[in-house]
Amino acid sequence: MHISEGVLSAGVIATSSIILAPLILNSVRKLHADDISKVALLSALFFVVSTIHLPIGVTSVHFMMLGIIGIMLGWHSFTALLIALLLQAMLIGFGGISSLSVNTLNTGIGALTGFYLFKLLKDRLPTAIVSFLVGFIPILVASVGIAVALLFSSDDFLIVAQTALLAHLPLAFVEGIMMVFLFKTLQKYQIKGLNI
Amino acid sequence: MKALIIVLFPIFIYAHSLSVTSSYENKELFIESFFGDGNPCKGCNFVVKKDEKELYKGSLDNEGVFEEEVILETPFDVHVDGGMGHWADVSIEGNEMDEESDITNNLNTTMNSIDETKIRQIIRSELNKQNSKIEIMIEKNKSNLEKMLMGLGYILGIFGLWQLILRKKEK
Repeated sequence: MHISEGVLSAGVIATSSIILAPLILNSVRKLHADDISKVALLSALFFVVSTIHLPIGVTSVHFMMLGIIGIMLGWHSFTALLIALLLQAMLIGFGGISSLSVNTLNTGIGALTGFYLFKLLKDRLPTAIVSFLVGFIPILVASVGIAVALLFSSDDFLIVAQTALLAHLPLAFVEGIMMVFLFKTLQKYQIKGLNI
Repeated sequence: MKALIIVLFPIFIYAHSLSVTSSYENKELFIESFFGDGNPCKGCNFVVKKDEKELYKGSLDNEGVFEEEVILETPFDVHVDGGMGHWADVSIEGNEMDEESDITNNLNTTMNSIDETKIRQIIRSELNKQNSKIEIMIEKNKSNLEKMLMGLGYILGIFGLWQLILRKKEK
């Protein structure tokens, strides 16, 4: 779920921009030419999958694939997501320019959670469980981010924040299952640079 | 890679961008909004704004349509909120045709001028509604694939250029 234009308070937008700016600068500074195609591929993946909506009751949420983005890009996830979210706001009216920093931060932190979760658990738990958690947890983290951003913007958004949180639970589950199959496929082909 | 192809494929089935068309004629405001898959934006809220000032707000019906008499000053913008981060805007320009018809009508002040003006307004109003419906049909038929490919093209362009610059620097 993207947060729309004009929903967030100036304070939330400013704070998220201040937090995001060094993360983007750091990623841009450290990005090597060899990594760019990987960042572009996953930016394109996010751009496309987030237009696929999962209807849940009266609302719908969209796929994000933050787990795989996080594992493959680590801290560069912020750059990939920023470009994808910017283009979505400009071309297809998802999210917005004013909420870009908040949306990037939420999804980026989700992806980063997937990255560290994978690092931490990959030798400790069976692959199926690790892959499920890597798909499941980042979505929950991103939805908590959305809820927090909405609550900090206005108390009126309490119900929207709760809905956002609850609506993402089935999505997190579906992405967890998808990640199990994705891991199996990636393991089978042993893609270079992806140590799954 | 196969998995990525499988993941990318459903965009053709369930892409979800929001589109809006609107017309304003004879104080009658017409708005229709729908998602990229053709589903109407049911009960979506909209705001009519002029220079960031809110003139009017309301919500669309179950068919994603709003059609009511509202007194508004053109030009203005219509902003539809589809929820969950989806929004769409459309601008309504000032109606130059009214001025034109006023001049013409002033010249023919003699017989039947009131009737003629009324007839013109009715015809124009109906034509505008039909135009909006045709625009909607065109927009619905325009595949989201076009916007999607445009986005992917931008991503390819941005990162391609970036890689080119970095490669040159590395040399």
